[in-house]
Amino acid sequence: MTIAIIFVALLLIGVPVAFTLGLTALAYIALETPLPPLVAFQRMFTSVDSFPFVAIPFFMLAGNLMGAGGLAQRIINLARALVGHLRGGLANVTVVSNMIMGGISGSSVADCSALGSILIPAMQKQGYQSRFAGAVNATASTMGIIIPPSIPMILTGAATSLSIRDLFFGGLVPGILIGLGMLVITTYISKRRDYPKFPRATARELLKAVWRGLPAFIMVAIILVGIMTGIFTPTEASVAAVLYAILVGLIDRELTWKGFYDSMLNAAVSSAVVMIVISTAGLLTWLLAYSMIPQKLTVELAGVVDSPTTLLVVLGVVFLLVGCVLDVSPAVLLFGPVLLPLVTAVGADPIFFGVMMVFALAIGLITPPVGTTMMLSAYIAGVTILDVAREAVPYLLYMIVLLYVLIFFQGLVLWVPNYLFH
Amino acid sequence: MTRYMDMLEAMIRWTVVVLLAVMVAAIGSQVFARYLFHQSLYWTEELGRHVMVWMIFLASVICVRRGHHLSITLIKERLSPHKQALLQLVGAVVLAYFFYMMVVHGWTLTQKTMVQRSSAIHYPMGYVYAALPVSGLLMFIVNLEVMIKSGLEFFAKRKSEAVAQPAGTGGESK
Repeated sequence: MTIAIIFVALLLIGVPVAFTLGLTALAYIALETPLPPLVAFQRMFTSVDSFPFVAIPFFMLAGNLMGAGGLAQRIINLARALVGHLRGGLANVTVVSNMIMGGISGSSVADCSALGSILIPAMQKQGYQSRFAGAVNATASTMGIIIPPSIPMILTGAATSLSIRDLFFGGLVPGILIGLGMLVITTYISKRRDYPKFPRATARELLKAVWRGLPAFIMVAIILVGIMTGIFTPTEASVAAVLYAILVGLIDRELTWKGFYDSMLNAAVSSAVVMIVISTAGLLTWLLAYSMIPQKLTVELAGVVDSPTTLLVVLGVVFLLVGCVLDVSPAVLLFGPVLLPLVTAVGADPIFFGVMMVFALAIGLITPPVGTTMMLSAYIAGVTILDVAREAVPYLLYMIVLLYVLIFFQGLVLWVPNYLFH
Repeated sequence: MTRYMDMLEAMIRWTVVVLLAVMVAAIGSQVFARYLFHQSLYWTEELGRHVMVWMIFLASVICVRRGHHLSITLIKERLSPHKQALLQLVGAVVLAYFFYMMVVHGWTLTQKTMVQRSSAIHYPMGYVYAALPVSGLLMFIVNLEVMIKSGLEFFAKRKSEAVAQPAGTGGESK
């Protein structure tokens, strides 16, 4: 109890989540276990000393280099040729750009800032309300961690020893469904508000946009096909993406030294933000395992919850609530290993559980009070978080409905990995 | 003070960029060696992993100074600047304790693991564990700066508040 109070109090006074987790773990060690505090720091170290995690800075770097090398702009141009003629053209372009970007980067926050910094001001200039522009970009960037590759799925896989490859491809159909649904909703809203559209691209313009966007598709192919066929491990695919992004930037002469340095620094700092959370969340998860919490939870609940579907329906609500206050990375690290024994005991599919957990927590990216892409988009659009949150409600409802559709039709998630790998 | 801290931060910035470049080079050469020359290099995974540990702990120092680490700002945003400074001060004091623990126990770990060798390249693991006390110390230092600044703001504001004006609108958070 004391420990829970310490945790909540530290979070509320604004101590960073990573150090709140670390301090909570220190308190737990001191009050509830005979362990020396030294163990805490050893666990912080071993939690991040793991090869699959090397992919995290690399996927971040690949995304940043794409922005600096002009690839992000090409993706936007391509999206414009594809869906710009729909009512609310630029908002739909935002959706499609985020979908393509989702196949390259594994981080919603990276997509949100790379595309949002271009698209949100462009939408504002065309007369879209700032809060709507923010909401569309915030919601669309959730696809970044659902469409493979995905950093939270790397974390889930590493923390639970589920196959990262299976988790990645489990996210493919759900990610695409988010995008398609968003296109419908965006067009509907735009019709009612009479937002502008672009003239339909001619065949010639479309071909040109596809040609110019080709480097981006090759990037998607390197990552997805590379991992799918087993040529690359996810970590190797991430470094291949980095090298390819540098190559494209050099060939186009768009990548400057400054752009390169900034991309590197940015990637280092944004991965530190994620990985420090990983180190202390890993410590806390280890402590929970040390105290046999997952086993106790399984024994307590396995008798009460008898069907896999009931369990997943309940977990869906739990993750939606958790997603409101915790960011995706610490949440998957804390809940993945704790809940997986229960999930397997009840007989639910572990891969489905992993994908569903990331999906449900991704919805948390656009729910207040803590929603990272919502905060970032609101900042770019110059409005408050609540403005964006209110405007995102139709998308939010769609994603929640989609979450439950997936739970009742698990084949939508499992079909792709099963077809490809089993 | 700010000038020296800026210099320190600039040094850390360059260091993390170089470390990330080393990671790319190590894992990049692993991929090349495997697919072009059909050889697997024994040292790349370990080096990449350990360089990453150093990189993230050092980059975390920048995040502490710039306030980049994820935190819940909902309450802080709603307070007056004066109370925000107080909360910042309290937070910095709590963090100072954590970083102090990190230095002390990180240092013990480093000494203990100097005899333990890494599995592939056989360097002492203490070289890698040293990331804990070193970054802990640096975070302690930059956190001290945050502490002093918010402390100064808190006590300065208290004087001016007698004269002053309605509560602030709350800062921009990022």
